[in-house]
Amino acid sequence: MINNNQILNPFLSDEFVHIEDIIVLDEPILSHYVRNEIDYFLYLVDKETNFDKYLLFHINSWTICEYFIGNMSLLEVINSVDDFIYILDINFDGELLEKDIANPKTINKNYLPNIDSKIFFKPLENSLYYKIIEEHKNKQYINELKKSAFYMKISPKTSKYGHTVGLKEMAETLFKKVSESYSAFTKADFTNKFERIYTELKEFKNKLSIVNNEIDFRLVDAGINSFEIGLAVDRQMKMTIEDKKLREWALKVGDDFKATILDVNYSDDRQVELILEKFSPEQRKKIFTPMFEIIENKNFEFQIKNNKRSKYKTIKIRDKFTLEKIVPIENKAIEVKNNDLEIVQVTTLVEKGKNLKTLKIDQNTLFSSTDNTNIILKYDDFVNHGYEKVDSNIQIKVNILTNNGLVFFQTIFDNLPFEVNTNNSKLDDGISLIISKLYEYILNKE
Amino acid sequence: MELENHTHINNIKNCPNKNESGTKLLYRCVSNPINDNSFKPFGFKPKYKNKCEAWGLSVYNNLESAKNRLKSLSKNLSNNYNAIAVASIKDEDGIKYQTFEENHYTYFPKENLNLIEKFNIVEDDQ
Repeated sequence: MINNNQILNPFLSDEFVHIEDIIVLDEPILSHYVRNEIDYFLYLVDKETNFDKYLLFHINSWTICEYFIGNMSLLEVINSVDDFIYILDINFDGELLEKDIANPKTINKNYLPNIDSKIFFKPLENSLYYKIIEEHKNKQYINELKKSAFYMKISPKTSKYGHTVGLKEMAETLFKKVSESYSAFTKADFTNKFERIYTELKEFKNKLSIVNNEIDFRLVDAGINSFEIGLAVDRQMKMTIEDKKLREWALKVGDDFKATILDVNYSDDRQVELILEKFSPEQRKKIFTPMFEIIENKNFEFQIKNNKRSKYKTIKIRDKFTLEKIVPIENKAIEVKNNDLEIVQVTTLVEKGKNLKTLKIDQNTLFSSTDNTNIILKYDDFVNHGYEKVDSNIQIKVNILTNNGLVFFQTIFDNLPFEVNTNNSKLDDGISLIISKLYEYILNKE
Repeated sequence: MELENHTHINNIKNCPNKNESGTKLLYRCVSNPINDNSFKPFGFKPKYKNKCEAWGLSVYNNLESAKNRLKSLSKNLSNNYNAIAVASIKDEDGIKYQTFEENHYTYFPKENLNLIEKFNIVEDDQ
């Protein structure tokens, strides 16, 4: 039985596996074969009285897909063949009568199709090509974006982990901060450009919300060994924004961010001045603070390049003055509280033996004001503060007095003066300090 | 219903094995003026005689696809196909179903159907 494979006799026809017929006019005009994992097209180019003439040529899978989706014509496919083309005369029984080899550039023009020989092939769902074409279209989308992608990289300054970047480092250093900066930039840029056009707050917010959904960068490439990412603006999707002004802004904003914020030469005064003119201090703070945190990070070097093929350049800020010019340090007024403290002695009745932390102050409570008093520190006081290595019979009298907003805790122990002071009203803080000082002395003495 | 070339078709198992019912406008690449050779199947070539679709006729379900296929022919081969003809094919006219790709159909006409009268040349401006 003669089958399609046998028309390629004597090219060891069993090695040529028929995949599918692509163009059929009653008989196959263009067919796809594979031999040893190499793809071939077999193209019927002429009919003589007793035989048919074919071209047989090698084709790669990328070209096949490009041809199927209408990006290449059949003529372009044939012209793209970079080795040679077989010319086969095969009779109606499938026997090879003659074989010749031709250069694609010098092949008989009568064997070639129209210049406009695009196919727009739509395979059936059960066809092998169905999934291949879908995957190719997806790759095409990414490949199209990759052409205009710019790249950022963070490189660790130590080789502790072989120049690899940690997940947390990457997420918190690069992704989060660039994203924060971009969000702040888009908001600032939109405000600067549109707040006089959309003067009503509701409309302004509505318009910003429309574009916000469309202006995120697409992550189209990534590399490890130091971590780099390729980011691109999706121009296709932005065409769905109906408002022309918004659409034009959305198409441009990603590139503007890259040029104005990422790819800045901080040594160039003109570029710095442009930044100062373009954004208010508040806007600059939100846009540049996260970027400066990346650039100034002691563990990483931040680099950027315009496309996949160009070289990386390191973004640095040599002059701290530039940094402070762009994001000024805020001078906060330090509020000085001058508390004048006094000691209030409270007399009230409590149940014997009860260790109370709080007292009920009511009409039965007596108060008297003084500026000094004293307490006796005993063994339990030391133990309650975590100090156990003291004499269980210890008793140390501590004077507490106030002066100029400070509370002083003074005592004489072993004929030596001990004093601490606090500026708050918590007596226990002062007691803690004096106990600590005394305990240190006791331990050292032993 | 007996199909044209049924003696050869009947020698092939499960041929044809399906049918799409309903009336369809189908376009065929032909030579102008239309003649019997415009509807000769290629099953007569020995290398195709056991292939079911070789006993049917290639047609397309839209004019654009038929034009694209014409443009895909080599200059020499396009001497044999220089026009496109269209016909409204009903269920009683034979068997038809999609083959190879979404826009392509193989049409098995019923026996003795006058295809020269059935198909009309599509003018260039259509």
